[in-house]
Amino acid sequence: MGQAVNPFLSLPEALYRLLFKRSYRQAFLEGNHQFLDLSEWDLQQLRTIDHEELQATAKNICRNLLSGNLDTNGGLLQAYPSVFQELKNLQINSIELMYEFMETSFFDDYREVPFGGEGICVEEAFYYFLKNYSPFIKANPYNKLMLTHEFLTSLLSILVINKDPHFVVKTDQVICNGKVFYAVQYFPSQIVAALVNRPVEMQEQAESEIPFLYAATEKTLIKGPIDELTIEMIRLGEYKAIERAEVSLCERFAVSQQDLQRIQNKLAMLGLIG
Amino acid sequence: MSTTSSIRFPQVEEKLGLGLGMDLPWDEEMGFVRRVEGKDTISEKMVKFFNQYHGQFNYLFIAYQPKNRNRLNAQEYFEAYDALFAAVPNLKARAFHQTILNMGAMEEYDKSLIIQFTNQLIERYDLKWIVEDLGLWSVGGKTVPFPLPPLMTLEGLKACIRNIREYQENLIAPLSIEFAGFTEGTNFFIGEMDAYEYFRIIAEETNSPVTIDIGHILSYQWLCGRTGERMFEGLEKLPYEYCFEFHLSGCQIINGKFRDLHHGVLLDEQIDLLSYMLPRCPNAKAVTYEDPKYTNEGILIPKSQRNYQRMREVVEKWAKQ
Repeated sequence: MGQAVNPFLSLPEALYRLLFKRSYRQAFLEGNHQFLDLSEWDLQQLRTIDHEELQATAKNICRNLLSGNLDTNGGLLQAYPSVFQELKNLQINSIELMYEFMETSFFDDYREVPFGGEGICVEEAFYYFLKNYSPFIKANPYNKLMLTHEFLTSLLSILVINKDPHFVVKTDQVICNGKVFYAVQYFPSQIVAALVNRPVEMQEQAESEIPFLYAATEKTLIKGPIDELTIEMIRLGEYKAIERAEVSLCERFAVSQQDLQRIQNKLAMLGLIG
Repeated sequence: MSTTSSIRFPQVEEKLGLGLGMDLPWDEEMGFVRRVEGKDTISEKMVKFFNQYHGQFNYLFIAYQPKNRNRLNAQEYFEAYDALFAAVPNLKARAFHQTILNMGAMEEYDKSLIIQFTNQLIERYDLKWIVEDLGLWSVGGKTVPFPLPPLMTLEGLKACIRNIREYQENLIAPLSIEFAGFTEGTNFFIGEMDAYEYFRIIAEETNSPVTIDIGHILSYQWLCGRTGERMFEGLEKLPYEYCFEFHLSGCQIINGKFRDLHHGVLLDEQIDLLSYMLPRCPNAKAVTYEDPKYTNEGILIPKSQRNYQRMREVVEKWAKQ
């Protein structure tokens, strides 16, 4: 005989949904109890909830997501400044957007406290949500690039400060070379020019898309256009590995050993290789 | 049911009298200062406050505020905490207000790192006790804007007892259980059990000392309609003999609701209730003024002065008895 499945939610599950899921909260507030998936007994326990306070709490959660709280979260507005400017231009209300974000499984995957089980940080959860949010993505072909740029900037900045993060980094865009966490994103040259606020050099413009580095070193975030040789050296991550690959690197990228050494020293000085 | 001799009271022989409780966020004007170059420390404004009120507080606790998003690591806090305690020498005792025990949680969660972290602080600073409001500080791994009371159901009660027992068994200093806040910021609760009976059962079942926050009591009285002359009704159900500590923090009535705002200004009713309860708690040793607000010169804000003095007089009289 199979084990009987409890058709109802538990009270802690209901509390989670009341706090973070607007649709569930609305069903409760409007008395649509058939949508709450609770036993009669547990429904009765919800009678003590002050509706006004519940709504105010949910709104405070939205505000904290946007603007941070007194703890360690600076808020999504700070992490995604250009994205929120674009959302404002599109007349998308940021509080409403938070309510929509919280309804998703991306939000559920986020963990704020170090003992709450494995989860991602809120910045990464929001990135996945917005990447799938068509009113934003479809409004402008560059919005996805802007989103990715601010996501990587914010995530790698967080990793500068938090060397031993309690959250996991899910995206495979971020790589660890044994010395630093880094990511490389390819952007059209005009986007790179806008990001660095200067015309992109001719050499950098040779390709239609230019690689752009984000790296969390010991003390700072390093970001900017980069070439393929340097990417490969960062990927190798350490002197010995680069030395072993010296001949093939020189051949493949048509550089001298002296040039290779010069780049290697610079990367070591910046703390990008060990 | 336990006798008072089995309660895990903090190792404090004499009454401590008046103490100070401070919630100290990072990089705020009243809090810890994070330094990339050099050592973390406390803000200048705090130093001035300590200088102004030197000798008026016999003990100090600080409330935990995370410094970053790293895994819990006590060493990351040592510089700042060292600076704080160095600024307030000659204390009779130090304690620590945790904010991550989450004693009301019904889901299983790994407490080992929380316990290890807390024990490292207890050892380094000779902390006499740990205190935390009984409640839900996070739900599903996400913090809530203000801690919620635990689920006021039988299952919620069992979960609290289970969690507290685990902490009491593993923390090397006693854990004092603080009565939950019912109107701290925005706040609501689930379940119909009487909060005082709930609290008493927890104290008895876990042999824990308890902390009675006067504002939290008033907030519950307010919710139950016991205001004005009825303010003292029902309080006899509280586990007075388990009470080790009282908390008083600034409260206010706004738009017909009682708010525990921690703004430093005590209500007359808080002083009256303290006077009423102190003689009823034979094992009480400490009265904490939580989260004072002060000027840039380190002087308590004018609105808070009157009842701060009244509280001091009540505590001094009690401490001499």
